[in-house]
Amino acid sequence: MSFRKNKNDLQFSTVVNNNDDFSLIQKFNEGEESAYSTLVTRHKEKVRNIIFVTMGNLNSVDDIAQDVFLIVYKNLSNFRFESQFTTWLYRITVNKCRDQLRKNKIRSIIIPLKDSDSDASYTPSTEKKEVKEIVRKAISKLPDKLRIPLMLKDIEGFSYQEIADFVECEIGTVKSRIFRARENLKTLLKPYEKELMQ
Amino acid sequence: MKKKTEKNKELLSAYLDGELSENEIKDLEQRISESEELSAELNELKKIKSLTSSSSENLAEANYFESGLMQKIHSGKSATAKFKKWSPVIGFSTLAIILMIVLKLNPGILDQFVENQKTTLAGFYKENLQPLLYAADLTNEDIFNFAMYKQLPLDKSTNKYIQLGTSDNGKEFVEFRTIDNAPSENNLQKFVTALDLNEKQKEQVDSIINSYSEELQSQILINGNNTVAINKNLWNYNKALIADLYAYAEKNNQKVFAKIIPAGYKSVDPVTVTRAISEVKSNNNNDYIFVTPDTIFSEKYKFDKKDFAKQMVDLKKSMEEMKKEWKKSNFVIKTDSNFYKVFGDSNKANNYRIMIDSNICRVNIPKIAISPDLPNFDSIFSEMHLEKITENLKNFTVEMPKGFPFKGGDFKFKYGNGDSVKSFKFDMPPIKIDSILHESFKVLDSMNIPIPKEVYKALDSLNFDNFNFDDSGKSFDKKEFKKQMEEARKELLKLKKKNKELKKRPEKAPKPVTADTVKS
Repeated sequence: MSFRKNKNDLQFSTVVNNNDDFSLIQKFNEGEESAYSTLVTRHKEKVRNIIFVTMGNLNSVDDIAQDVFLIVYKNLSNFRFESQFTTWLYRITVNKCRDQLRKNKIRSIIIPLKDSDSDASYTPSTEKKEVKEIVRKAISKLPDKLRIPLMLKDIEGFSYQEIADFVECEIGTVKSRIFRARENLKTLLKPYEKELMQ
Repeated sequence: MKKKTEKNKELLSAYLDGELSENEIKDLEQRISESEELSAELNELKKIKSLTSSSSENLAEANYFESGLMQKIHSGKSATAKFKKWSPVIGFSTLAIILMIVLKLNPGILDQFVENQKTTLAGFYKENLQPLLYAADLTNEDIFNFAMYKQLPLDKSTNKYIQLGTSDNGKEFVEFRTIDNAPSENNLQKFVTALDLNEKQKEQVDSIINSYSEELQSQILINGNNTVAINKNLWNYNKALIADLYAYAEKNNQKVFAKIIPAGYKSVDPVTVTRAISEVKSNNNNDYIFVTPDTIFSEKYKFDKKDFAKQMVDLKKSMEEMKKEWKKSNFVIKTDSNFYKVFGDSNKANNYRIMIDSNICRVNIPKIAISPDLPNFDSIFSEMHLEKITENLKNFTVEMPKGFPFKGGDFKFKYGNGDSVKSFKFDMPPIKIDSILHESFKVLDSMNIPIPKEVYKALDSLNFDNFNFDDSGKSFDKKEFKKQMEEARKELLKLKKKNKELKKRPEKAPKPVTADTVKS
């Protein structure tokens, strides 16, 4: 399943009206376990993709995604229907990713991570493989607070407002961080101009 | 100005993302059309956005996502799981409470328990301890090498040795190790040769070494439980043996001893040496350090030498079988990465510890003070090795005069290399071969002059069998030389004979001058 496909999923999920998510939550709260399964099936791929782009690798994507849905499972009864279910769900997802990134950082101080870890996750694609690898490496060097909004914008196609909701900050901050991320990328990719021109 | 440019660039980025209001878009597009710089910047940002957007790859579908999630949900739900989560905490807390109560009621119980365990463990490891060196079948040469190199062989075929040494901080230790270079052979023989000892004296040296053989055997014991017990007195035995050998050498050949012993060695009063040796030998020290696969501990252990001596008689009968068994058992120290952390007991007086790496096991030995103390042979011996003695022996050289066969000159016998050992030479009266030959040729030339007596005399005096040339004269074949000289003598005799015969023949008279001959 590609990201473009996921974007279709996103479109589908936005087409699915709030009432549908809300009614499923209500059904679950009334004791209908299958409603929860439907919610999971509907949103799992998007959640997994957010985790994938936020973490920058496939390691523990499913683990984190399952943890996200576990939190959802435990807290659905507290859902107040004041915002979209997806906003709540993606905020949990981004927060969970940030937690994991923090833990990874501590771990990497103690046990250095291998470079190959980040490469193992991708399905090989012959087209512009080298260029993609160069860009991915450059992105991975960005600080998390710049990288996450950039990825959520350029890969997942969220709006600045949505991103601000997920990462719990002002919309102006998101705008500024995405711009700074692009400026930093320009510098990081400068030495690879030749390769990128091909 | 810079701030404004940054703000404009930020707007360009948001413009690309479709995040500007209609008015903002209008305003910015106006400025872009007027500014090449903004236009270029926009193109740059477009490129970057395009690269990031296309950088990600496909994410494979998760097939067992739901089942895994359900498992997590249900495992978190059950009461047993909750109990399992807290069970270690509950378990430890309960144990702590029980221990607190028990220790309050009976404070000595823990010490008693540990002591009991220690005794049981020590008992297990002390079972059937046998002298390790008995199995190694020590020769006098081995014991001599122990004195000089502080090495005792465990298994010569695999180069496994016990090595005594002193660490940088002055701690004495014993190592079980595989060594690359075994001590050179015949060191005892070299020592005896250097001292120029006669047969009786050689026997005495052997008996000195023998007197340590049995003692040494009881210093290192092992058993089938992979326990090695090292007596702390082992080091003193080494010192005593060196002192004993040095004292004997000094007594029997003071001159050579002075030459082979390096500067720095001060003679020890023989009485002191004797006293020290007798103390080392009579010191029935039963303190052994036990190195086991689990721990190291220091314990008293009485090794019954007499009982063992009795056993020896029986053991010797089945020596060959035993050797095979020992070889099979192959001394192995099981190394463990945590093993180096073991530092023996907490008593600082027993200051020993073990260090192990892949092929060395080192145990520090605490000193046992003996009175009178023997000198530190280490510092002396570090300068004097048997190798050096051997070298000195090699330095006994004979230099032949150049241009052999002899043209005259001196024979030089050298001893030593000119540094620690003085060189000296013997001047030999030159054998005037040249003059002999010169005279001989004179005879041949003249044919009339009889061979002088001195030629024969000189040739006869060349009793080559009495000459002892060393290795430097290997190319000289004295038999062949003698043969040739003999032939030369025979030739001279023949010539002499011919000469005599020629003298005996009458000379022809010249024809008389007549008138006919004048005419013709």
